[in-house]
Amino acid sequence: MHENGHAANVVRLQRQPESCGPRIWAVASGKGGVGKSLISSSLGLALSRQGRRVVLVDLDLGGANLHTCLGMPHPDVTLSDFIDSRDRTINEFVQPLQDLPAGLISGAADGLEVANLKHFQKQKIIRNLRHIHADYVILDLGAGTAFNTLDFFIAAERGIISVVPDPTSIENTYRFLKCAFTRRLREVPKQTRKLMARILGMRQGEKRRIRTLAASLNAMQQLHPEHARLLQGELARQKLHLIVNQVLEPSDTELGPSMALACHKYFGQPLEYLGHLNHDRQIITALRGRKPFLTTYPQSRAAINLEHMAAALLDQDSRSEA
Amino acid sequence: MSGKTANYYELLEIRPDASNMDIINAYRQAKLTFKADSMATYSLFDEEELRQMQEQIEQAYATLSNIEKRRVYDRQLGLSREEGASGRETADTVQDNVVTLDGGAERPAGIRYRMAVATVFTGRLLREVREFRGIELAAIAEHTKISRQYLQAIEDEDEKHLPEPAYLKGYLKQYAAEIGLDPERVVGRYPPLQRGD
Repeated sequence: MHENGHAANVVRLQRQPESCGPRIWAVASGKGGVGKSLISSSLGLALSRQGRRVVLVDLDLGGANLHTCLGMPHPDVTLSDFIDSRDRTINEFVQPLQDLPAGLISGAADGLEVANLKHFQKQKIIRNLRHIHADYVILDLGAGTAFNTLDFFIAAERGIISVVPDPTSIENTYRFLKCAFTRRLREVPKQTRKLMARILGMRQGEKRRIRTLAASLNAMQQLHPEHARLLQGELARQKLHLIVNQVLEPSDTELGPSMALACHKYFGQPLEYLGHLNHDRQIITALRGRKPFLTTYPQSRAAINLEHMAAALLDQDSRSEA
Repeated sequence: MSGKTANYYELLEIRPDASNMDIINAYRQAKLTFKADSMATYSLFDEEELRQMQEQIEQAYATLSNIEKRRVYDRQLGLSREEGASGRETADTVQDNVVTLDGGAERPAGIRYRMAVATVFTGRLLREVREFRGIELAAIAEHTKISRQYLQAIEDEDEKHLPEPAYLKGYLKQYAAEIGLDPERVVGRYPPLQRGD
């Protein structure tokens, strides 16, 4: 008895650093050029202005330019150096930002291999994100549905998706979500996965097959409630959020709430609409001047909205802690 | 959309104690989202699924927006609900707060803002509110049993075709309730009734 108690203590002590690790948010999109780097850099700066220690990680490997959005020079050390290193911790690769408790781990290496990480290299990065000395780690992901991108995405406790009001971006957003959910199913036991695959082939009503995740979860709930619980538990681990960027028309502001509703009906999981960002020339102006948008134009509507979004997410985090 | 059919509240994603305003707002949002050429559902739902969804939304609204039908429906679901909106804030109150924080400067003439501060409810404003809620005039005519011509005359402020003031007050109150406005407020601020005083 006594020994067991001791063993449990050791386990708890060993797990403590992980449970006290940083909160990880991932910023993703189905399509490129819809503002991921703007959003991740701005959320990072907004959090650090609120006194949180933030490390941004540029995981848009092969297309990394978060340092430019942050107004930093081309980085001396990058994620590739960390992957290659044997004895240095990930914290040694953080480049500090001036004046704010924030830093960047850049992905901007020019080697061919960095865009095509091997499995163990990806695992090394994911494992070490938890060891970064920060309150918040924000991942700026590449566009699209490559396995590496999906795995970084599902490693985060919040997934923030950027979309612009055009059909190609919307289509790719839904494709991204479908792929991310499918990838998440790998995390549940094999038997649950098998049952899910069987349900997805079943007929619903007269002739249609079960097509949506919501419908399959529902069927699972009725046929195998214990497996349904496992699935729901896995899916609920990550909170999903949506930002509509590059809004031009007043009617574009309706897109976010509507996509959130459509997603809930299709995936059976909440996708919280965080808000929209107006199309704003100052974003381009800041970028051309290689200055961070949020701190260069803090009075602009987009910057204020981004501050609000960061504050809303912080508020959710502090409520969940309480 | 699912193995077990969602009830009307689940379908519109509202609570069983939703106020009339909550129902109207949820109906508007759902109708907008699942209309045939909706950008928000692009590539996610096919035409047939959208058509089914629209049908379900209309059914849900037809029942929940009618006090009598809703009472019967609640009984079928085994819900025992206190009358009225059970003291909860209506969706508009909540959204108005968001509007002042978020969209105030951007859309000073936003319909939510204007209906909240209106000192005059012109026929035109009433129509805007109705259209904003996504409610057809025909649906109001059916619910209230007020003739379509009278409803049209109310929105047009067409004094030739408006009924006598005593009737007009009654009709206007019912119409206002259907589009989620405070009936007394509308009756006190509708120009043709003021001119008659």
